[in-house]
Amino acid sequence: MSSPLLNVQSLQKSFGAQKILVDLNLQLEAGQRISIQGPSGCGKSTLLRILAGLESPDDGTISLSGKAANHKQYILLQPWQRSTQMVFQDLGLWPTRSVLQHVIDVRKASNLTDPKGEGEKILNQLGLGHLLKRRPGKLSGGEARRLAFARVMALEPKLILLDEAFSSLDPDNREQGFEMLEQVLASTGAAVILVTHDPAEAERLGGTAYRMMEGQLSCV
Amino acid sequence: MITWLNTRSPRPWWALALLASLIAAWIPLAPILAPLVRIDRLAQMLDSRTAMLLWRSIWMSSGAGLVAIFLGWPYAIMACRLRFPGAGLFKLLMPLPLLLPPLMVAQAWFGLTGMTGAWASIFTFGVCYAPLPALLASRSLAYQSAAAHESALLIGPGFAIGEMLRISFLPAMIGACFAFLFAASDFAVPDYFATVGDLFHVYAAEIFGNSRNYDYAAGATSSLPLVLLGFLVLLGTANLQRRQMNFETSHGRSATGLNLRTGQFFSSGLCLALIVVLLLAPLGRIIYETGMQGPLSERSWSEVSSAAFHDAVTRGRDDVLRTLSYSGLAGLMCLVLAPLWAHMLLKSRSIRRFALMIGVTLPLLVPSVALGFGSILMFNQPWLENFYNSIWLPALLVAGRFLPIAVWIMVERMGRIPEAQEDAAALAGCGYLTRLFRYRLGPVRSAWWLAAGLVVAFGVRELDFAILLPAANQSAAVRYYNALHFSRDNFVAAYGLVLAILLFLPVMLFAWWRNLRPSQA
Repeated sequence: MSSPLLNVQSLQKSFGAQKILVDLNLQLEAGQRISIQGPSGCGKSTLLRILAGLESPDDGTISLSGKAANHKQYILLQPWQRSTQMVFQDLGLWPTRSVLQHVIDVRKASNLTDPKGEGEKILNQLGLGHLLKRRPGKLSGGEARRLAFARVMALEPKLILLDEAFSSLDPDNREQGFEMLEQVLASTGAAVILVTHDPAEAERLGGTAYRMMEGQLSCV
Repeated sequence: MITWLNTRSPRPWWALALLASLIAAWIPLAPILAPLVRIDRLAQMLDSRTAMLLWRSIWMSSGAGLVAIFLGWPYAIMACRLRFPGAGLFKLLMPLPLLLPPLMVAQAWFGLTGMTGAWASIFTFGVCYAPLPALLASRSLAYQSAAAHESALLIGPGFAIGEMLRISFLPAMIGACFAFLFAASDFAVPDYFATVGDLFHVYAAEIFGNSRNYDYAAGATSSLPLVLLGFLVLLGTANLQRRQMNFETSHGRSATGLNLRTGQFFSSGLCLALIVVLLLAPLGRIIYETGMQGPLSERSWSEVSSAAFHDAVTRGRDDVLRTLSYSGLAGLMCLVLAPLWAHMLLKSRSIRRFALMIGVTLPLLVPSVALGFGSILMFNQPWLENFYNSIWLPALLVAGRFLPIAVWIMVERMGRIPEAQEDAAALAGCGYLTRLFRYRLGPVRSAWWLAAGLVVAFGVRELDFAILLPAANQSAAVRYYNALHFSRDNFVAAYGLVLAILLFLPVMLFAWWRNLRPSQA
């Protein structure tokens, strides 16, 4: 039997006296979709950052495709070794790089084939083909979000983490965002974890919906 | 009275700031800029010899800028954004080389290596001004968005470092431009290396040469080509600054340090090597020179050194106190003027803003020696005799010359405070001073002190116009310059160290105080 894409066991994290994650368990298969809802400050984003390797837990284990990524507080797989990509709430675009450079850079850094050709293809697919030389500071909100997804798509990750990626969008733009996500998922076949405080977003994503309460996940 | 002072309109206060700049900075500039109205005189100024000197100054200053960026930029990235043992200490030491008088650094490196000539000047200026690219780069790195950094980290550590390099390149370049400006207008360091080695001249020394035959008018007017050069560099700097503004995206959370694991030992070693070049080697040499003696001397190093320090403290005390008095007064003036000027700039748009920026920056573009000539020509009048001989004149000149540095810091910091905070105070009926000092300046008060402190530090190490002005002749920098040229090595070294401690102390205290406080905008 093959290993799950993501296997989280007894994950714990505290900030000072405040316990954020308490014995948290989670399993995710390739291509699966899950959403995690919960109020602000309950630890949703911290969980994503730990899964991405950007933060270390206090205890517990994480494995990715059978490989140990964390053991207790030690990071065994670095963020760039996890085949994971994240879309942040404020997108995290690189201000000095043009639209095209965003996708070329990530494909080159990950040794993927034909960075320029594939990059242009992805950008055309997401409707950014006419903005190749523009920098993020000159993009509209919607265009910047598309670029963030194009960057994810260019990397062909196995796991996509969305940290409130559609919050602060009006309903029309949110729907466009989900359509874009569908394109990315169809192209990469990646699994996705969406963190949100909005039940409507969780419903729109589909898959399994969890709620985070007192540091643990429970099915909605 | 208080109600009158706290008028709701900013205009009276802005007028006061303009008036202060007029007296402190623009009046002494008048003789320097005078040839601008006579094109024929401007053309006469650049004969083949002076053109050659100007060209030499340009390439020497360009070299200094390159050395400064080469040393300062990687240091800033390592000390500010990589995690390794001692990174905090390296960050704390980063501004200190800027406070060392360039002449002292020149003396130290001559003692260490015996180098002289133009290359020695380039290296010395590069070392002295490396903190400028470092400080500006570190500032931009502090504002890198955490999400942008983490997105890069998901690709790889090399990519994350590449992104740090890209985001801090333009600020480092701006720092190098300032290094260029300071190096081009300094005559003392090339003059020192020309004295101890092969003779060579730069344009700033040519300007200073006019003081030997008391031809102050020629001295003032001959500096115009350097002023125009500085103006061109400033335009380039403003363009770089405008481009950098488009790259700043931080919204709240700032990026944290990067742990390079095994690479941290390399970073630590490289940072140590750089700080040795920038600070520890010159300081070490100067300490050694306090007790250096001839082969026939029977006294020990420590005896000679203690005697030198005793001599430095007793004989140089009055000069140090006088220097601290006028520099402190200048700092106090800038404490009031810098926020007013910064606010005026932030509230101005397009051409008016540009004109104000040029106006406030102009005194820094002018070689300090020329500012001294201009002051003599304008203020050495019988009816101004008391003022001309008092410490108020050097205090005003220090304030006028270094106000731009304080203003830039305040513009940068105050510009990050949301305007809505001030607008809300205006709607509540608060007067201008309350709005400015409580709501716009309140959250960045540490930067306010830093700006004034820098003016004091630059005032203490200012030599060029202090040599010319009778009121500033009895200053620490001039005593140091004279002693250096009379080869009183032990005294010079000890006196230089006393000055360095005086300059370092406020910065270290400020850093300590800031670390005690929660982070600010």
